[in-house]
Amino acid sequence: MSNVRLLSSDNEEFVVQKEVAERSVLIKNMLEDVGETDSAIPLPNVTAKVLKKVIEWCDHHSSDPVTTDETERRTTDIDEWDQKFMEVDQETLFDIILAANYLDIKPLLDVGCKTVANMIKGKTAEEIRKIFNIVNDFTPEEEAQIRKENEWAEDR
Amino acid sequence: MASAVLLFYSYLSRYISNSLDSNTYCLNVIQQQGQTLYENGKYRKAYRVFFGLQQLQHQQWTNPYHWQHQQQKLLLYYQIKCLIHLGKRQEALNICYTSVKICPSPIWYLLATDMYIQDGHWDLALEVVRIGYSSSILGGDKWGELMLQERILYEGHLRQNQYVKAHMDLVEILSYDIVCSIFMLLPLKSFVHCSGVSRSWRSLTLTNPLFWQHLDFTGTRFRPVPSTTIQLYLSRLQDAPLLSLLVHNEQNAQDLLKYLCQTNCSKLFELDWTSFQCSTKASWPLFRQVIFSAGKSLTTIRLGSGWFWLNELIDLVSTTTCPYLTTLDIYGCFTGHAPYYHNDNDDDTNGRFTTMTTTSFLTHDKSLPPLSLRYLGLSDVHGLTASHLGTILLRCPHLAELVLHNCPVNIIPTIGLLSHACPLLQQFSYHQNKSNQFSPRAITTTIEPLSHPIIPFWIASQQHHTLPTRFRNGDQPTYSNLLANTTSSTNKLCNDDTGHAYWKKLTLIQTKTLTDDLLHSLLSGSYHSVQTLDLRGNKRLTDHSIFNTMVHLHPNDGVDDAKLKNGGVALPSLEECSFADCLHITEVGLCSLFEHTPRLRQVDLSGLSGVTDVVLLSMALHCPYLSIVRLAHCRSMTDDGVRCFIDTFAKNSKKEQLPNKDKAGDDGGLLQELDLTDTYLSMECLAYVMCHIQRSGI
Repeated sequence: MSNVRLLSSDNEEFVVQKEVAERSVLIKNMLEDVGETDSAIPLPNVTAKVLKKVIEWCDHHSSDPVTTDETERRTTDIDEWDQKFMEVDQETLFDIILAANYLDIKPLLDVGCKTVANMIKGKTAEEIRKIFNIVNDFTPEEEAQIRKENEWAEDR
Repeated sequence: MASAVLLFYSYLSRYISNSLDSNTYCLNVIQQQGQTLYENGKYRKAYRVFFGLQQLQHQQWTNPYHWQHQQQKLLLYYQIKCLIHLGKRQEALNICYTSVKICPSPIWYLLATDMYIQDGHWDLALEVVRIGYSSSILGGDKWGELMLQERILYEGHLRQNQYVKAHMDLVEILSYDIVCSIFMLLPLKSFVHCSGVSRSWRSLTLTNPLFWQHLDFTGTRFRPVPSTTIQLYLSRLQDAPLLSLLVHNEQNAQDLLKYLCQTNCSKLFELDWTSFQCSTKASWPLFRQVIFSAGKSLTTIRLGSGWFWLNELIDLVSTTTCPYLTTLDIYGCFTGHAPYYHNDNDDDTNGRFTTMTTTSFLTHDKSLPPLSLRYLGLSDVHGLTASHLGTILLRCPHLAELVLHNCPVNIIPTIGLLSHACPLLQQFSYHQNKSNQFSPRAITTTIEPLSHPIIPFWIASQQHHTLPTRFRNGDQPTYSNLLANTTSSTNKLCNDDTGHAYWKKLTLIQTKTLTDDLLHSLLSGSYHSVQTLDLRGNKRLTDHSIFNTMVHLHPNDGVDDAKLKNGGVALPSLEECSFADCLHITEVGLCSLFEHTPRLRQVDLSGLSGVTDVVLLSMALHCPYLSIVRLAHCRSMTDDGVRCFIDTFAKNSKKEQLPNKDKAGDDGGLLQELDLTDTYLSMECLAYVMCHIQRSGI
């Protein structure tokens, strides 16, 4: 089995099995275009820290079947390993999502989006602001109006 | 691993009726056994015992005095400790969080902090300590410790990293597409909160109509949603098609219908409106308009609260308007009177059964447009008669599942019709229908002139040999002949062209009239396919029903194929079965039942005095896949019998599953729930059972 060399934005090199690297549609397409090559593939949008995480994920999921069914992908829960994998700080989480988007790894992108969605799910606007450290820039009148229109959804 | 994901609970309790002192005493004894297990390092078993005890305690929560607060804390504490020893940290943390709510104490915060520190999550540990510190438990046993902990952690945390919480607005960091796909994952109830976070979040959520296509207002706990809110959300669609609308508890449905008429409903596929408050007269035309505009795309309709007539609705949603409608669920409405059975006479329910079998009735009905339904649910439909149900069923040739709950309709004509009208029917549930008294006299008098009995051989043979004497004289045989007559002829008919669908699921709960013969005529031919059989509270059923299932295995029957195919087992597919409170089922019947149900997973034998140690042993030997067993109020079992059941089952199921699964553990097999409420078993035995039941895969 042949290996592929990947170069992160901060010039760190990773040697990965071809099969693992091809979880990324971007890399797969690149390899098809270039053919057999010895030079490293540069990934200017991904730092070494994030690339390491992404490779870890691809390695664990290298033999997963590819699901094309959109609704099935959306509704299935995050499995235990992925949940543990995503227990990182917010910055890394967003970086992983952006990297998955850039590298075109749909299943990883799904897991990332679901993780963020789970962080938001069941929270009030104030709680969401707290989680992501967002400033409330509404006027009190606007806020009162918004509260009124969403009143039905307040559970407590 | 599948079992690990599910949450299993088991409630074992005894002496419910006894004095509470002895009750508490029993729990104490079991708890001590659990502690011994824990001290001996048997964490798995200890956890099961403590978990079981806690479930018990929940059952008695109505009397909080009888189980001291302190003891509850102890139970939770030991559960967490066991989980930590077993390496299930996440579960342990979850218990910590729930414990904080059930019985507040700083101890939970300390436990959680310890776990976080062990994992190296200093910041999380600090947060937990702070929450514990600020939550109003002043004084108390461990409060000082908590304060100290906070100081230590804070310094350690500072040293670990110069942590400043960054501005992490995902709307700014992530690209538009990603943010949209995150928002699309949220249920409406959560999503609307996002629209009130900040200006940038608001403009993003309001400008994209895709977010407002699925409007699910359910789960508001009986609080009505103001119709102005719904109108507001609908307006955000900006003429994009609405895809689904689920509203429960609507007070002003008429307004909503008006808005809906102005909305693009051309792609609407799901409509769920239970408990609507509006007047029939004003709303019906509007509703018709909505259905006409959405008809081509609708697949599911759920309606309730009596503002429409059932027959008008059925006419409205036929294939001419809704060609793809597969699910129709109706709650609480009136039947209404349609012109084509204006000669209805409510006293004559049984008499009309005869008309239903006549050909003139069938041809008359064919003129009506059919319905494409696969699922039909009718709950609390007032004034539903057998004949009306018949006309509906005859119009649903594709029906696969039928649910009748709380409808005053007689089961007998219904059963006769099922295979007749809906050859593809596989699941039938009939529950709590008030007027299920069946008067045999009415049937015989109206039937006799008409019936030209083609009695199938099994009925004949039963009449000669096996029919219980009670039914030999009187009306019953004549009646079963009639039923056999209709079912057998229609079965044949179906087999010829469409291929008769076999029963998969049959639920007939507390029908006063269901007899062995009736059940047999309903199920015959489907014994090999039926997966769920719920016959709770059918007091007229006897062992005979069970023996009937084996009739087709008898060599004289000439059905040798079936025998060979299924390895000589009568009910090869049965996975769930309930004979609870079927008082006439005895030991003999049950023993032979289990010999023929190798795939059984769930069994409910509550309230049967026939459940003896022999039955338990038979169950353990023949059903290796059992996971849920309910034996409440079974007072004929003994300690030894239950122990023996657990041991034999463990041995046997391990043998069966060893080739493909080695996770069965050292005990208990896959048994996950055992209900022994109100039985005469000793405490030692209960503790023993508790040790051997899997919970959350532990």
